[in-house]
Amino acid sequence: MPEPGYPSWTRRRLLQTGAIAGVRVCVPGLLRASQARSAILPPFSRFTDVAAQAGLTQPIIYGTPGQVTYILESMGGGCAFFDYDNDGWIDIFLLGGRTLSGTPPGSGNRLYHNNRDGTFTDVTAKSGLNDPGWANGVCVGDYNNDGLEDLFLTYYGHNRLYQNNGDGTFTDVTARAGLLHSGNRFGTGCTFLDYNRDGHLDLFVANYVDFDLATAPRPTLQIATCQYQGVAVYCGPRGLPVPTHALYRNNGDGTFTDISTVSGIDALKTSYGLTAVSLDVDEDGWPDIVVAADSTPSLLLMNNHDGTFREEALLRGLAVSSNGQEMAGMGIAAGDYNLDGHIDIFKTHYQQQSNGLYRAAAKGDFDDVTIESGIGIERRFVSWGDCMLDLDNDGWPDIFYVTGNVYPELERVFSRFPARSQPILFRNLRNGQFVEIGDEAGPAFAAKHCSRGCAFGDFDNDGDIDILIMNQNEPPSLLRNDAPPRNNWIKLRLEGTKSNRSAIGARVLVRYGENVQAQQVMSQASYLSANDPRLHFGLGPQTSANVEVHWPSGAIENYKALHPNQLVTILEGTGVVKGRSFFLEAKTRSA
Amino acid sequence: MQLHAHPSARTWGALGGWLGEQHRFACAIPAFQSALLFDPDSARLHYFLALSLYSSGRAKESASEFHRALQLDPRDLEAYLALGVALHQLGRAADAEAAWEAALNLDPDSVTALDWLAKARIDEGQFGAAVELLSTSPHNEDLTLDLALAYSQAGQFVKATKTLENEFARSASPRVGAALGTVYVQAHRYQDATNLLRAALQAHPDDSAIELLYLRVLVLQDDDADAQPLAKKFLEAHPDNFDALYLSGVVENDLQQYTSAVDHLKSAAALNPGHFDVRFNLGIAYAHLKKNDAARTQLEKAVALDPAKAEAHFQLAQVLRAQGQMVEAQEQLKLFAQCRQATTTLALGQTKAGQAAQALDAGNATEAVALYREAIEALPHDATLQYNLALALDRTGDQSGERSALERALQLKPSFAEVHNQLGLVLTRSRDANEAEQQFREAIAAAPSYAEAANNLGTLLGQQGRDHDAETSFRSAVAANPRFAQAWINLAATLASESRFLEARAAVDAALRIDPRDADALRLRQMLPSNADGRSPTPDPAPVNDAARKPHS
Repeated sequence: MPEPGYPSWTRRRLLQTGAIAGVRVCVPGLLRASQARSAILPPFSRFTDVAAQAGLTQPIIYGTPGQVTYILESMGGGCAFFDYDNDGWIDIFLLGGRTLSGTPPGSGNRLYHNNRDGTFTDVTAKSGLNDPGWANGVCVGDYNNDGLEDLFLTYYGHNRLYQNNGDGTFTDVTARAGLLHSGNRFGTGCTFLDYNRDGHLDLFVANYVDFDLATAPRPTLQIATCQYQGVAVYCGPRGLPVPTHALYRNNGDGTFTDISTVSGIDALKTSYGLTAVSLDVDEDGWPDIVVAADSTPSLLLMNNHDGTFREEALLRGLAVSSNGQEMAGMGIAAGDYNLDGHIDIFKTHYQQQSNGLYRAAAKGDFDDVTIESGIGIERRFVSWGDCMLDLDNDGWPDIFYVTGNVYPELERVFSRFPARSQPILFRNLRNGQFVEIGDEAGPAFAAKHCSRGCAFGDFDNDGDIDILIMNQNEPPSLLRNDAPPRNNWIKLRLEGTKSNRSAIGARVLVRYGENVQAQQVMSQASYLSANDPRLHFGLGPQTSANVEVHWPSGAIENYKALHPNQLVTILEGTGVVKGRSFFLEAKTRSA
Repeated sequence: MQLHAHPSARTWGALGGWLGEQHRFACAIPAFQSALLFDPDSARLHYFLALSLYSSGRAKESASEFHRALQLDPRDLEAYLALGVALHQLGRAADAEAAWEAALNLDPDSVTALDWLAKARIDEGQFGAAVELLSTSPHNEDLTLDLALAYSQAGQFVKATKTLENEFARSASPRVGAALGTVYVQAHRYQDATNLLRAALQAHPDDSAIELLYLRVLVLQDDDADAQPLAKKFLEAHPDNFDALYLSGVVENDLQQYTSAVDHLKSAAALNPGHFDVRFNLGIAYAHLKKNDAARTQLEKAVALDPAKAEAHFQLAQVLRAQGQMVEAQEQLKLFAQCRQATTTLALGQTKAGQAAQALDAGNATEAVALYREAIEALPHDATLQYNLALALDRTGDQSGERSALERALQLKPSFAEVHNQLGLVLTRSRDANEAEQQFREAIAAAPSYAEAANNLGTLLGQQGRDHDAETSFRSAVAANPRFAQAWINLAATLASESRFLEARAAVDAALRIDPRDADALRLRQMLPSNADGRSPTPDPAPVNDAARKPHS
């Protein structure tokens, strides 16, 4: 007689649920082997969290600690390194939030002025940027070409355009600029870009989900999209309506026109958009847009040169993982890790997913090299803000990202899903591979936070890249980089004249020794954040660099044999601006 | 000696019994046949002969003997149970179910009958009927497993999980552990599944079912480091086992051991050529070995087996690109994108539907209606959503809307039994008896074991005074679910109205065996005459009939 059967699942479901199809390596032994190799490498940078001594002591309120009911409490927010007062020292802007029940003291955004001595002063009150709400993303750009960097902030609710008045204050010009929209939106990624190359910065805005607090589902085990591993958690993004995104054309008179429809942008209702980065991926001189998308295919919007875009992420290898899995795309880093003169992309993903390293192949195509690069072995944490920058100035871009869970409830059940976790650093081995290094890069890499955005820039002008990190419901981290002193570097500040003043979209090739490295000026990167607009190149032992600038206007300029260890300011059509550089010799650095 | 000296039914029967105990069934058969020569009307001897025949692999002959035994003793519970099993083996599912239903008529708590009948309902896809059958059943591990299976097959993983967790807390048997581990996986509770199955395997290291489940969960979680040694061990012990070959191949693919993956997956494909995942993984392994022609063949087979699986289109596109077939590759990428979009839309619809169900549970029918409508906007071809919308509209009193939703559900799925039944109820309320009857009959035609529909049809017919037809329907209802107390009461009321008090008493007693405190049954029993001549202790049983007869929605 037949035996009574067990409940069973089909093997089809087995595959459907698990990402077992493709190539992955998750063997701890490999991780150990990789780590062993780091012993023979020269010393790396040391990072120290100096946030407290720098005066960054106020916690960033974002939702109720340890308890997330709705998705909007979990996703924010970004931060920015930008020089709002043009004094040559980058300042700090941190996006803050609120709670479901209101805006407790300390809610909202914060602007910190760089005191040029390693400390910062909170100037939020004067600036007019506090605006407590569910702020998510920031992009920086001089939209009115007045020489002052302006801010666009995305919110759940209504986004904001803040015009920099040049006196330490900002004015909300959203309505005047024509950027108001009807109804609430869950704005996330944003980037200024000059898509039509008219010298005025246009604006792309990504939305995450169509979300209404009044009707949103709450955590429950009764709905598949509202639980994780048997724990009731906030619902989404799966199961929530997919939004459209928006593109606004700068009219050149301080106003914008919504061209989402005519550009083809709002026909794309496929993806839960997060970080948006504008890059010229096919190097045709026209800016394209990359959008990291959560649990749906990421987007690559190719510029048709006629005011419209076509979506080609799937075709070009950026949409999904190498085995066809939709990843939880969070942050985007763009850099030239293999020094081939083409900008590669690193995209952060969810826990138990490999973050993705996409090597630029040719004409805008990408190869997923996550596994062969060694990046794929680290899959423990939900990963957010990231960079592909040369942190130790050895001439080879490294990879850094911050982590933190979205479900604080999980760690009460599963210790392997901690709410707070450490940042991750992969050192470039100069052979297409990376090795993960931990607290050998400093005690900052053992500190655990629930981080989101982070920004990269040289806040102390000492010739290396420091890191600002937004930690939910904690003060931010400010990781001061003490790079190995033997390595040289060069830093470039570009100013457009025919191009937009911020030079956003300018692509730069720096040649040093046998190497060539590409970078681009971007308005947003990392996770919903904005980096120091000055492009920083480590040169290793090389003592001079040749610089090739591809301006958004189409002009190409070359600068030969520039000396290392200085900031070089280049004005489009004019050349190097004298008297606006700083030199390494002026700084004291620790080894 | 005694046999030769005093051949009799008793002595031949004793010999047959002894031989049966020795599992010498072929020898027992002639012994029982000889006994029957002396006592041809012995139900027990026919029963034992039938058992021996069944145990000897002669199921068809055994069924005849079981029937003969039951002719002689219609109250032989064991004979009904065994007859059902024999008929099941002969592929006569409906006859087998009738036998188990008859067993349940004799003993509503028969675990064996409930077990088999529940499994039959689940096999037929009638998960609701299975749940209804088991929801009031006595506690038993087998029945709990059946109930959990019915819940999980119906997608009610939370209920399935709770059912099994309660059972596991009661007795941590390997079977319950395996079932609970499986349901954890279905509910995406992988960590719980891993922990449970790891512990179960430690407690029962020789249980290959647990071992296989544990291996599958490890593979599912991409835990290749733990999965590979277990897969090797399992494959060594079960070299021709499909799952062992398949899972080994998957793990090897993950670990980039493509050559051995191909070997194992090819063997698995030989055992099960129509298995999507085997073809899919084999295609991937070939692709990594740069054997693009072989990869393409396997991936095209995978796509043919399940065109809705996005990843197969994606991998096929990669292979086609490698072959320079750019147009075909782009076509596959389009299909991939469509499948992914469908997944996103499905999640949206399911989330809205889940919210709607919560709202309905909370008593907010109006909100539920709105949410179901949003779910339907995302998934306009989902008949179940239309049905659920109809039930929510029913709560709001919007009969017109309810009817429209039900009709739309039937357009999408004409054989949707529950919808026919509900539409029958709606039509009954609107006094359209003919159409209502038609809908109930269509419900029964779509799901012959649908006890609710049979009961509702009986109620409708009874209200029309068609007592004979009503009786037939109620009998169908209790046959389909012998633990359906309301149907027994309705049957009793119908029989009483025809003054068939003895039969009515039997029916009401059946209801009371299921629930001794059922108020309707107790009241009806009180009104029925206690003696065979039909004299009633109450003057008129007719009002009882009307009062007791209830539809079941």
